[in-house]
Amino acid sequence: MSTLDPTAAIPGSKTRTGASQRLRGMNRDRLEQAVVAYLFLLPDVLGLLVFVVGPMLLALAISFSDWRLTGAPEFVGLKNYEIILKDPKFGASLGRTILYTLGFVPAVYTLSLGMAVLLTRRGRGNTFFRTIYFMPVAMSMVVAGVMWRFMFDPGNGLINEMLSSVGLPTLQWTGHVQSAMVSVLIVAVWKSVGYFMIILLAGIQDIPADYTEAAAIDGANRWQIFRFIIMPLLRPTSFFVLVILSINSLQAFDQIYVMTRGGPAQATYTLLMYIYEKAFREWNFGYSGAMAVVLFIMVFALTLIQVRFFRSSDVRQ
Amino acid sequence: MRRLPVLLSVVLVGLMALSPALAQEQTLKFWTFEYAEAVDPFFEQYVEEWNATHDLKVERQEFPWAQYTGEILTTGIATGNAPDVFFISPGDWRRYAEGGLAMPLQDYIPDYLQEDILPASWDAVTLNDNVYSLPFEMEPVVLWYNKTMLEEAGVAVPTTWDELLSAAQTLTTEDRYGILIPTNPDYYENFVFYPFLWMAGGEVMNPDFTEAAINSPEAAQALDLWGTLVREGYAAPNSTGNDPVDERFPTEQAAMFVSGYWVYGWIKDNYPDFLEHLDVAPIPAPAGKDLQTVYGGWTVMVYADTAFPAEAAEFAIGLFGAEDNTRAAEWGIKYNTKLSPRASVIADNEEFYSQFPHDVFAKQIFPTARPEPSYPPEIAQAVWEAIQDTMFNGVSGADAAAAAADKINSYLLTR
Repeated sequence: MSTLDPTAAIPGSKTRTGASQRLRGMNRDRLEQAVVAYLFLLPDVLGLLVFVVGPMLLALAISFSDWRLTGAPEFVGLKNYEIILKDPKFGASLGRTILYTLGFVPAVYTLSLGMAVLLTRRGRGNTFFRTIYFMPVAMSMVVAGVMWRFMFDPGNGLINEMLSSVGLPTLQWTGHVQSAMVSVLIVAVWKSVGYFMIILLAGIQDIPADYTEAAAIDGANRWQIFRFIIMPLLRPTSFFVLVILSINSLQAFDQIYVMTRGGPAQATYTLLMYIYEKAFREWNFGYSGAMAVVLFIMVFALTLIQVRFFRSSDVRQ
Repeated sequence: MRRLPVLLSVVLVGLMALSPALAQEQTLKFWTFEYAEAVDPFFEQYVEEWNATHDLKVERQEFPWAQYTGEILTTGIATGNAPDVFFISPGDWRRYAEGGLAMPLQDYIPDYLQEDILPASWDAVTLNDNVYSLPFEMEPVVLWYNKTMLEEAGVAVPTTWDELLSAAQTLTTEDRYGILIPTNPDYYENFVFYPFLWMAGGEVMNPDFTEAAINSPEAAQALDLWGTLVREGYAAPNSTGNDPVDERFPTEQAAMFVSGYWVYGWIKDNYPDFLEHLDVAPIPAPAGKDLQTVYGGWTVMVYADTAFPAEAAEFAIGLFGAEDNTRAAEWGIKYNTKLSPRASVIADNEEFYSQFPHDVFAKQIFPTARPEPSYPPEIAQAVWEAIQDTMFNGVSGADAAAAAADKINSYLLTR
């Protein structure tokens, strides 16, 4: 404090000076705390900026350019977006992606929820089953794809052997346009269910037992407890699961690439495969970037719709 | 109050630790895809040899197959981290050369090598009278078959398409396919399809590369053959993911297998017991037509903007083109099962090339082989979509060929 401090001569100001010093000390402490906190955050923020935000902005910039590998990018405005509107392949691969999403999201959600409910109660063998159900998550998608390809083999695959041993008709699985998407979906669902089961299980176990006990005392049966107690209280978890599932399925790529390469006859050719091929096979980075931006907007919009839906139904509750 | 300085110094130390990585060292970067571990000594020895005798050191990097044929080279070039010397697939070399990404090599090629490498192999890497990549291996495609199964079924080795169809039909049973052809929509499917297309008399493009030539009855005939094999259930409709080495052949789930020279080495290493059943023949031709096949094989390219053009060319040529052809021969005989495009390699290894099945490849198959054509991805895709449509959508060969021609011609207009 300077000597010009008007409060210096005032009696009793000592306490106030002390207070302001304390205040400043606190500010210094806080500042230091903030600096420390930011330093701890720094690696993460840097990583996010360098590996997520940066590439996203770059993709946006590229989407306004015509950039082949063999020359410098050239600004073309919205041309790439205009091409998207006229490109039948974009529409077709988007259609397949939506079809995939419509199969994937409900299947994974209901199955993982069902398994979570079954495994909530402490019972003998539950840990065993949880481990079993979670195992596919720990497996590399490429390994899983290879393994399932053998199981789906129309000639000597395990699945057809099982079907025919009980007298059911066999399928060509990945070798037929009508069953290829189903095959890919089965693998994707199998691979994801365990992970979302764990999340939903944690959500269910977070629900205080008092509620379900009270409901039981009031005479609610198991279905009623599930429908009117667990489901509403599980809403935030369900919201999270559905958002992540939708994002994952709109970006489906690796298991399809491993299992069918988008075939047979394009039956499993999704939007992300098209984006990948445009960029890395055809070296058309601008157009590929534009499609990636459109996909991003769709994912973002879908997430917003889900936020809205869950908020409005919260209000109704 | 000591925490802040401590933290700052931790950050500083971290940055210092990173700095050597940031300081660029001058090396010659050499990229390949990942070969089997047994092949590593081949590269290690040459790089060691080079580094012992040159100031500019070579650093070799290898990448998983899928990434190498996918995004690795593309992103390397796009971000200014391209290798100086790299392996390039036969399907890709042309657009690298046309796009100005490959350094012309003609001036660096020594006379003995110019004469030693077969003219057809030079043609396959030449654009506007300049060589843009160095051929070092050839892998022709043939009809492998399980001779025990053919004998047991009383089926003669097919020599015409009609015989091929009826053999495939007879050999198909409850738990085995008559034949395996690639079913994944990809470059490899086209590669194996080309001999069928050519033997029928069809072509993908006209000689000037200005128009599609695939819309012909001959191309339709080849497409229909493949379509029939799959639709009738004689050929497996699904892929095991690795079409060039389909396990269903050595595990006796298929009687015939259209694939390349590499199959022999793969079976010898992984299914030695199967060797007694293994035999090979040229791919049958339509009745009255000449035998033809295709050969693939990677080539080695120098990046156009390399900082060390002379050293890069020297390194690339020395790899398989040294005057002493031992290394070139070992690549195909000791480390892999491949033919060399150098005539001297076959001449100097007479004994090896007179043994089964190498004799068949060197003497019978190779003279009928044409190098794999290098089409841009848009054209290649039109071809495999035609194949896929006849196999899986019940489209006739004629309609599929016409659709492919339309796709190719409209692509040529936008080029």
